[in-house]
Amino acid sequence: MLLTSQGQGICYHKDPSGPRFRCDLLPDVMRQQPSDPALVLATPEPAKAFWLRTLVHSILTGGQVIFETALPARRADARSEVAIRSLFQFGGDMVVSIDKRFLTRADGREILEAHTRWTGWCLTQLAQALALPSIVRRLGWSCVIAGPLCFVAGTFQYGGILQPFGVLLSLPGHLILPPAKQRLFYWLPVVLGIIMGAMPRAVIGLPALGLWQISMVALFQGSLWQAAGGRCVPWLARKVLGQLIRWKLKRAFEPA
Amino acid sequence: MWQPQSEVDETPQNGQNGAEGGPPRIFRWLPRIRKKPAPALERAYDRFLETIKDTLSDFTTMEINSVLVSNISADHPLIDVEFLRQTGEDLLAWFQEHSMDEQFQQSLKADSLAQLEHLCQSITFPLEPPEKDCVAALLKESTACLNNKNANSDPRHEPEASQRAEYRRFLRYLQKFLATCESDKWDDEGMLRGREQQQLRKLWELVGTTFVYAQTVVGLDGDAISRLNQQLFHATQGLSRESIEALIRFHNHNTEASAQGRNSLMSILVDTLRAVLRR
Repeated sequence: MLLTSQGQGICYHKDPSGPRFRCDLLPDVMRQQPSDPALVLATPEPAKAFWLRTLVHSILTGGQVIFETALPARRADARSEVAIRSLFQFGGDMVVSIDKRFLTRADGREILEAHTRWTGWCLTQLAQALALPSIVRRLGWSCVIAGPLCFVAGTFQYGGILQPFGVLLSLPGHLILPPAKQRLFYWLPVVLGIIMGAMPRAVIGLPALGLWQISMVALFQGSLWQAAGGRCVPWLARKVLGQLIRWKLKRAFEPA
Repeated sequence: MWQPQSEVDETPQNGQNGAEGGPPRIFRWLPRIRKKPAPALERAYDRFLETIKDTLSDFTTMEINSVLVSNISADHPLIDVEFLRQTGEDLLAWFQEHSMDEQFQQSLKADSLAQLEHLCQSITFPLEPPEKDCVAALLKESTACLNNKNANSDPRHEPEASQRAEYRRFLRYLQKFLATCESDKWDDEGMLRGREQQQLRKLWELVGTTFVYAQTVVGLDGDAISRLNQQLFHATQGLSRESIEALIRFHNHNTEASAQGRNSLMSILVDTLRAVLRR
């Protein structure tokens, strides 16, 4: 970890032309890389959303990422020299440029292997940023919690859109999350009711009532969407996709 | 952060509904956003969709090029027009240093090189009429060079055959450069949009190369074509046998990494579709 605290290792540059990763191959870095490329990522340790943010930045700037492997400068006042640069585009195209001066070095092959290792690791992290389960799970819970909150807030407002909005907002959550996870959530109003009944009157106040109301609403919405949305949405999606595919095929094979 | 505007801008915008001049459909359902959203948000949304669309259409073929260069610059242009200028300057420098025996390959004339130099120095977007004339003349000249096939002059021996192949490769690069100059996807900030931007970045990487030593093209149906440049094995390159083997292994690793990256994106798309249809 001494390497990372000194800011050496893999650096990330958020250029307007796209994200660029650069790894300075100091001797210690070369030694540590085979065991765990993650050890050489510069501190502070990237937040969990770092790779997702990088992916979005890359998409917004054309769908490409640059990886550079640099070697330390020969003189103190000179800049480090880039030995290998990879341009990776999300369609799968890649251009890898190798400075042939570094191939004649004694550690030329180690440089090639180090570049393969750390770029492969970065690409894996970028791919996992879009991993469906983590994003979908977060989205699902956000919707399940935000939907009832909006609904309850809407009860204090006559004629607003918060109540129907809250009902709609909870739909994706109840469709995406597995039923087993939601069952824990549904037990909440039952548990709260028991607690409120058993506790002295002093602790039964507005917050507890509000929480009980929210959980009841969530229970109702969950039942509604499980019954209605669990079948309707896939049916609707299949219909729409089928029509779209038929339309595309018709256009493709239509005589000019 | 987006703020609703008090006045509706009725100028047609090149957005999702570019020709209709209205806000993108995704925003219309929000009651407060019946007015046009801020241009920056619309531009970001358009770029996002365009990149997704181009990435999906590029999925069918995957190309991995491994190249040897004499030097890799650590300086990066920040805008696409600067990438274009540097590409043009690299092309000019290469054509000025290399000229072919007219017996084997027609070379670009000195006038054409002067026009290319003028184009690189004064290019702005949208193109002015003098630059458009330059581009048209260069396109015509480069096409004539590529199409000039003298049946008796086809070199069958090294090094003329390699030199001719390299010259023709750079003529094709020049044509791609000129096509990028003529593109209508340039915005006011000197940035390209869509597939042209990816093509420009690839061109910028490929133009400054000594030679492409390996190329692999993999189709979605599984067909793969791998090419190894025989120049890699020439003694003139000064590479040892171990270095050559390391380079070939390195290219194979790059191909695998690229395939894994593409397959990951494909599986995410499939999982998303499955989640919508089955759940």
